[in-house]
Amino acid sequence: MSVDKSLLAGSTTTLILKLLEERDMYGYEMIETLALRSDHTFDFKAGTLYPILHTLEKQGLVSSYEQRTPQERIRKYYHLTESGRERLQEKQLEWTRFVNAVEKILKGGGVHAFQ
Amino acid sequence: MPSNEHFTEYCQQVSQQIRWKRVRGVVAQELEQHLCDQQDAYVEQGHDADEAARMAVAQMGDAQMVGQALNQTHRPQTPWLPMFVILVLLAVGLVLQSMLSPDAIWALPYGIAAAAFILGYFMDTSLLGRHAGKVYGLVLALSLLALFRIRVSLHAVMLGHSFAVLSLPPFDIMLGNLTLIFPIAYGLFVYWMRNRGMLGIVYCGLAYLPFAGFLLCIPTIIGFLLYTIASLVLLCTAIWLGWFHVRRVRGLALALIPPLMCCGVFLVTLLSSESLQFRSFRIDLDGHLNNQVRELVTQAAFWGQGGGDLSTIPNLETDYTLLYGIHRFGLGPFLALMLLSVGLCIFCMRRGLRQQSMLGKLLVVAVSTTFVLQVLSYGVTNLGYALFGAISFPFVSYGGTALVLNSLLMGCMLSVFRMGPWVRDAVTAVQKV
Repeated sequence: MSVDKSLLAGSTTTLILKLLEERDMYGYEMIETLALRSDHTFDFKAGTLYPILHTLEKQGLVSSYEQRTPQERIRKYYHLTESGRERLQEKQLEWTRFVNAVEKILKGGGVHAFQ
Repeated sequence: MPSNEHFTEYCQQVSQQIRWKRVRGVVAQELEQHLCDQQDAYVEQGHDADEAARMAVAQMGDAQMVGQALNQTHRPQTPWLPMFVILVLLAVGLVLQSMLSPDAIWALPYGIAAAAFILGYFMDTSLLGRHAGKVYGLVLALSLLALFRIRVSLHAVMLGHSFAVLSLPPFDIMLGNLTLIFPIAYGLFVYWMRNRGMLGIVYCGLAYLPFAGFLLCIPTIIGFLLYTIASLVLLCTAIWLGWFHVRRVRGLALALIPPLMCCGVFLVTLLSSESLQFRSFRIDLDGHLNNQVRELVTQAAFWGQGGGDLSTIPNLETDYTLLYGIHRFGLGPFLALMLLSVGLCIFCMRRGLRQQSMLGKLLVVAVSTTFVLQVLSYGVTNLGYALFGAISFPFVSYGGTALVLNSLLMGCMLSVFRMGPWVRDAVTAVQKV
């Protein structure tokens, strides 16, 4: 089942920061990892990922460095900075509050404002 | 169509949407790499190379949309605050020079300085990183070449100046002022040697020596001290930030050896030599000039015209511009100027250390250190506590070579801020953040 993209819009940054919390990654690796872990719910277009990554880099939340691969390709790795780590914690808290609130509503029942 | 042509065409379409041309290459390289990875994955799934390439391009998304999104991110950042402070310093300098000797203001150095600033500001600083060793070698070679072409100005010797002058008509270049570009050249050498462990630090120690020797040959004692302090700061910063992958204490201890040895040799030479060059250092060892300066400072008002007679102070335009300012406008404006200059350095240093590229960090540290050492030594000299004189007060005191070199250095540093995260380190196989 496909997911409405607007649901994803606000949380893409959190997903990317979370991946980078584990280890440094390059763009293609991020897209593949996100797709695998979400059972292909999050199949990003690469063209969506790079503007986000570059914005995060400009904001200082991630940094990057280049490495030469054994095939003599130059690969750009992204690394989570300290301020990126702090932002991730804030975003995770925000997300937990949001999910809890949505679940409470979806469960139904409970209090009504005008009874 | 071969697969890489698909990629090149796609990347070109994306790049064309980005108005800031400097980053187009960086972006295209990253996207092309991604496309190659994606193509490999499709080939592994059983598609032929050409089909895999088409699928990889399709997976990337619409080139126009991607390019426009990237264009929103990639904008050069104009460092307005440092630029404003530099303009203020320049204005203060022009006012003081026009009051001191209105006929001596020569437009040509200011024109060349403006060109040097623009050159530095719009230069791709990543190029310096890619050719770090060559830049160091070039600066060293030109300096040594200049050393054989100098002539000695006896007039300057009598006034206690560093007196080696390189005549390139219509210019007379004070070689002592080349001190200003040595730290950045040395910083580039340190950058070149990063990731090479203790051996890299040893090479950096050796690379410190030729410039130090050059400055002792001229000789310029303040230049030697400025270069020594700046080079130590650069090497220690690199070791402290782990760029040599060695234990900090060991690395720092090793880094201290060549400058300490050089300082020892210098002190012995200074105290024992009777040569013409070294006598110039001792011209004011009785402190006569310093006493005069201190006397004038004590007669200065906090705000407004002070007492005393400046006519006995030599070289007001070049060496004692701030003393004239103190005498004419008071100690308050002097303190404000010093605070503004030191504040500029602290601002730049803090912002520089937040740069993610090692190259950006080193360039900013090199320029900021050179700048602040000039400001402090000049300030101390103008308060009457000089031991070894000063080079210049950037953008304020008179001096063509210093003005041009300071402008070039400032342009380079602001270029790092302008480029932001797009100052790229040269790629190595083992490089890590």
